[in-house]
Amino acid sequence: MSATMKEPSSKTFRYGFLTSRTARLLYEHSIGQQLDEEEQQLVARAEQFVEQILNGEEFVSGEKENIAPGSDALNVLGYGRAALKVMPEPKNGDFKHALTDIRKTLAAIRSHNKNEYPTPEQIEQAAKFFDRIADAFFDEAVASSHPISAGRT
Amino acid sequence: METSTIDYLVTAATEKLKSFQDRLSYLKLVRFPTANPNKLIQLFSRISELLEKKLTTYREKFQVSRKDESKHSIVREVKLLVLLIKTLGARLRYIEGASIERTPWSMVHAVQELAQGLLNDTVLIIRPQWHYNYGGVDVIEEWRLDLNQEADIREIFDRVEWDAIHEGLARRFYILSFPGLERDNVLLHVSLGHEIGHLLLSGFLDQEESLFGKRIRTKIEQLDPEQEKKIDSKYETAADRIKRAFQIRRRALEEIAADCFAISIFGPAALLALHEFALFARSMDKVSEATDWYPPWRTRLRYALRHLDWPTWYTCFGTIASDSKWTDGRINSGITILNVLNVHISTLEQLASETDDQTEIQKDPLTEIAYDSLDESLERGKNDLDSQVDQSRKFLSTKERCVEIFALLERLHYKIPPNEVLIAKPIGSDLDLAGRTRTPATLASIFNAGWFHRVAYLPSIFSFDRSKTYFEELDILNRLVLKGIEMSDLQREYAPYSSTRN
Repeated sequence: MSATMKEPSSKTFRYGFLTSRTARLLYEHSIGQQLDEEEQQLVARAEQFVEQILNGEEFVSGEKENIAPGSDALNVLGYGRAALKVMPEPKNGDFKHALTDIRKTLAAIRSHNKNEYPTPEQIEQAAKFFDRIADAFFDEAVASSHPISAGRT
Repeated sequence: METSTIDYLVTAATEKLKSFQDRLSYLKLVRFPTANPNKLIQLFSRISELLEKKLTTYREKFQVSRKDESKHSIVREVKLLVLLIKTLGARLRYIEGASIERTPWSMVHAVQELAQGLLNDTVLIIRPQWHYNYGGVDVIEEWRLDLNQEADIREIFDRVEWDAIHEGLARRFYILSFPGLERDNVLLHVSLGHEIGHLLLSGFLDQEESLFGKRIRTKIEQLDPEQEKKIDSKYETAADRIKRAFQIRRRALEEIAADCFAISIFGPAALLALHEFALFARSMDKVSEATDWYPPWRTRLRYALRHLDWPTWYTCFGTIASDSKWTDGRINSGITILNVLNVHISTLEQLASETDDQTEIQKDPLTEIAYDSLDESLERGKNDLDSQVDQSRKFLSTKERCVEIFALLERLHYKIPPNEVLIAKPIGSDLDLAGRTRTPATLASIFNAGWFHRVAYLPSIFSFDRSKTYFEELDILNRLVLKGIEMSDLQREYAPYSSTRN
């Protein structure tokens, strides 16, 4: 008796679309450009996604006592770490620092904060981060939709 | 004119959608036991129409994109969309399988009514699967941002579009699967109660991770070198280990709590069905990745027995069984049935009292940590589920159940469908000639009467001169139980009409 089925999970699709759309928005973003309402909501959800990775990191390192739901934060933590590992020219080796930078970039773009506006390099860095994660979610969706049983595929 | 990459991609994707829509048109012609599969067809039709528009939008965005990286993202999103269509396409099997020919159609409506009474705004569909297992899947789970939030698929559709898709339809579509091989083995379908339990558990499971996360992490940090050596080397980092312990714990909690829920709604019948499933397990004691971290069957039986509290049932049955005396046949009294049943359940208690499962759990430090606080959580989980059952006010007390079950056992003894009981006090049913009232039997009592009859009258094929006789008797029992479920369901459904009769 089971509650599971072997198909791409809901989260694979949700995070796959979220990260891919965020990457696209950031790649197309011009400095100082004002976001419309839908774009603002998308960036807000991307911020929450980065926050979730940070939560996972802080929980594992003991900085945070608890996370809810735990398994979800630990899953996205794995994706976040893998993406940052292959990022071109990482500014520093501190995972948490890099994530905090990306979150700040997103927040500044969303709130259109002219005083703390990110540089084109920071925006590019954030775009690549989401791009890598979107590729990983896409790969997972493809892998999990392959038939498991033997036979021609 | 040269055809661009995006045109090829969107054309191929649209073809997939058209095939999906063609299959939906075919499925509209299939006959189902209830209207629920048609509602899912309607939902899928609306989704596919909107996805077609999305594909056109992607093409337009691609054409105005300034950067290759953006174009790469759009291509990826179109491919993700196609994967989504393929996933939805694979889910058409749920509708196809729910046809009259492939389901024990007599009981589908009754189980559906029971589940929909417990779950708000849910459409339930029952279908067979060739894989030998019971299972449940929420068809549109992927559309929701979070189980605790309003239905939302913002990453693909906006709120207005989603509202249009869902207008007039339920929020949740839940598929209950049973092993196709067991279509006619109606008593085993008591296990569907376990699957209904899963649907009610999600919120509780998420809370548990939050409540016990710190304790689990601390225990993993404090493992001594000897225990460290026992951990599989693939769980190298703390994050991997915590994630694995969470996974093992969650699986144990959800399965055991769902077992307990099935016991709450179906009583002893749920325990007997659980044991029949456990009989053919590879191991009663192992918990491993190979079995998706399912809790050991022995552990599950132990918790199920504890939750059932058989001594209370036994005492209750004891006060009624002596009044049940029948003519004809090998068994002619309720006491005999109760004694056979008690011996059978004692065997299960003996099985559950052995502790080989606990020894297995202790072999792996992560599993041991995951199971360490299980009792505490399960108590909360069971209370949470039981309160949902009580709130529904659809279930009888143990005493009322015992009376009903023994009344139905008498009908089965004389090979009469166990669809109704005659009781002294009027509760809105027709009066019969003796002044008692006819009351449609509850699904739980029909299942229990069926199981009790099977345990007492059909203990093994070796208790008959010919195995053929055993299977003939089993077939009669299954047909009587199915007919009993169907008739009681009809009586209940049409009671408002019959009560207007002069």
